[in-house]
Amino acid sequence: MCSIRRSHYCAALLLALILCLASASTRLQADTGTCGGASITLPFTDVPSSNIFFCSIAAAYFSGLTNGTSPTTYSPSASVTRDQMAAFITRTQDSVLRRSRQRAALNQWAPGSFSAGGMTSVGTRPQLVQSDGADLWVADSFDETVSRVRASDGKLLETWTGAERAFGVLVARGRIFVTGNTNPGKLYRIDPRQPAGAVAVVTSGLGPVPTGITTDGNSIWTANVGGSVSRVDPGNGDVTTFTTGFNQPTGILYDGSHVWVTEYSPGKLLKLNPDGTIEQTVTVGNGVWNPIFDGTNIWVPSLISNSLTVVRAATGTVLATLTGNGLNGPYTAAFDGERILVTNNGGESVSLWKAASLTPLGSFNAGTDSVPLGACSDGINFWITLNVAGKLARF
Amino acid sequence: MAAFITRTQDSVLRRGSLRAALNQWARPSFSSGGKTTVGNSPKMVQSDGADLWGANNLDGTVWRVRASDGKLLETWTGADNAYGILVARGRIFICGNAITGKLHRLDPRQPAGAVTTVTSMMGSGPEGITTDGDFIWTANAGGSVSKLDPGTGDVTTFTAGFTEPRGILWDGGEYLGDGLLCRNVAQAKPQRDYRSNR
Repeated sequence: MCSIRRSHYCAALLLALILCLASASTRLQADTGTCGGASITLPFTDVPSSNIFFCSIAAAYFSGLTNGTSPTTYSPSASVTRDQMAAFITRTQDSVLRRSRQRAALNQWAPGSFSAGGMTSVGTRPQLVQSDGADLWVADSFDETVSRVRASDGKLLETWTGAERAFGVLVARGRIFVTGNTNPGKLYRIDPRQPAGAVAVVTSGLGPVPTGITTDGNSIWTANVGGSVSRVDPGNGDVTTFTTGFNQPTGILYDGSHVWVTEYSPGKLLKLNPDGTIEQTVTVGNGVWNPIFDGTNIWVPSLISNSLTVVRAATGTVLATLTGNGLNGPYTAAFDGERILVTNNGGESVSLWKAASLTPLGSFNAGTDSVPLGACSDGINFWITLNVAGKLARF
Repeated sequence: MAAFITRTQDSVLRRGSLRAALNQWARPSFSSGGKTTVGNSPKMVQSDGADLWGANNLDGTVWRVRASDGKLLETWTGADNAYGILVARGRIFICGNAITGKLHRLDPRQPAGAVTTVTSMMGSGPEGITTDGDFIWTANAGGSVSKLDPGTGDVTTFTAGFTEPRGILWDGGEYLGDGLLCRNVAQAKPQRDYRSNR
């Protein structure tokens, strides 16, 4: 017995010794090198300082792009599988998006909320809103006004008048353009350098009931619910209105190469040629309003279907039809460089997604009788018009 | 692979920054940056995206400087022992670094005047200040962390595990969804999530 116990004891002692040596060996081999003149220590034991990629591996580790193949190994010579490749590139994308945003530079890491954001009274029935990078511009269809709100503190700076049935807003060419959803439709213009006063009327010859507005850099385009799309030359005010293939256009955007228009019902996303003809039709949900382009995909909210369709702009492929996440009468989508926000016209709330992965991030209540309608981002916060409350909310 | 992804990250960060868009490639320096006289013993400073807000500890004032040109725009008064500063909820919050800790607030939309004192019930010696989106948190050098509900003004002060906390931040969680989860954890166990920066 004694012999057996001794042998057990010896074996245990030997094992402890091996573990101790292994541990000491690990500590000794934790690799230290010099990057930019600073001494850097990695937890990996297989990345010697002589490795010409030592500093790149260190940067990848410290940035959270890689965690190694184990707590103490990086396996620098191993092949990268497609699985690992997906992890590397999405981590890199996420890291860059999070760290490069103005929110990061301003130490604004708190998630958005309506209670914390602050509200500004902007009229009786605020519709859509756009940022010029410093101020927000809000169209009010009931008051026939356009309000200018300073983004940094939410102060109402000025109110422009005479914008009959003001609806959509576009910031372009150093001016503010606003659709008047009259019949025939109107297009207004504001010079933000001038003292507030009456808006200028660019044209009263748009197609009936224009709502959405965008620009391709040369022309201004409007989606007219009355059944057309108008193209305006802002230099001379000339208007060309296209009706073929359009039924109830609502929203419109430009993706850097094409103008896209949403059809309310049956829900469609139409890709236009420069001559106003339809190049491609994508079937989306029903009751479609204001989409947004995130640099890769177009997000299309469908009020009746309670869904959000994600379409790859380059191909027109429907990537996903998102439901749930508090969607309740989705009306307008906005993008802040990282997240997609959708206003829920029927649900008194907004819903958020991570744009890169289509991951839901929750929905947030805007309060009773608020009716969120328009939305945009100024790069720091989302801004949402609360149509019935007559407020512009920072989120 | 490590080289590729870190080069990609570096490239995008450099090219995607506001400095790149504004053609601001010069290395920063004090001599070329310009200085603005803001008062006596300025402590912490924060940006609201357009203007800078700072706290003068000895003057008990809060200043607003336009970032684009460094012009002193306005000075608010009555912020006794002003120290840490926070831009949140469309307002500016300032720690009053007194034995009886205070929290001051100002509305940047209003003309400059006296700040509003939200509470005099913070822990002793608040310096650092942050928000998790719902609550305002301060690190109090006297040995505590305080959590303020800005809606009601209610203050909860935690002392267990704290010796001399001075700095504080909110990390947003892994992402917004996870951040909400983390916030709940933080509220339940603040000593695990808020640490001194000394």
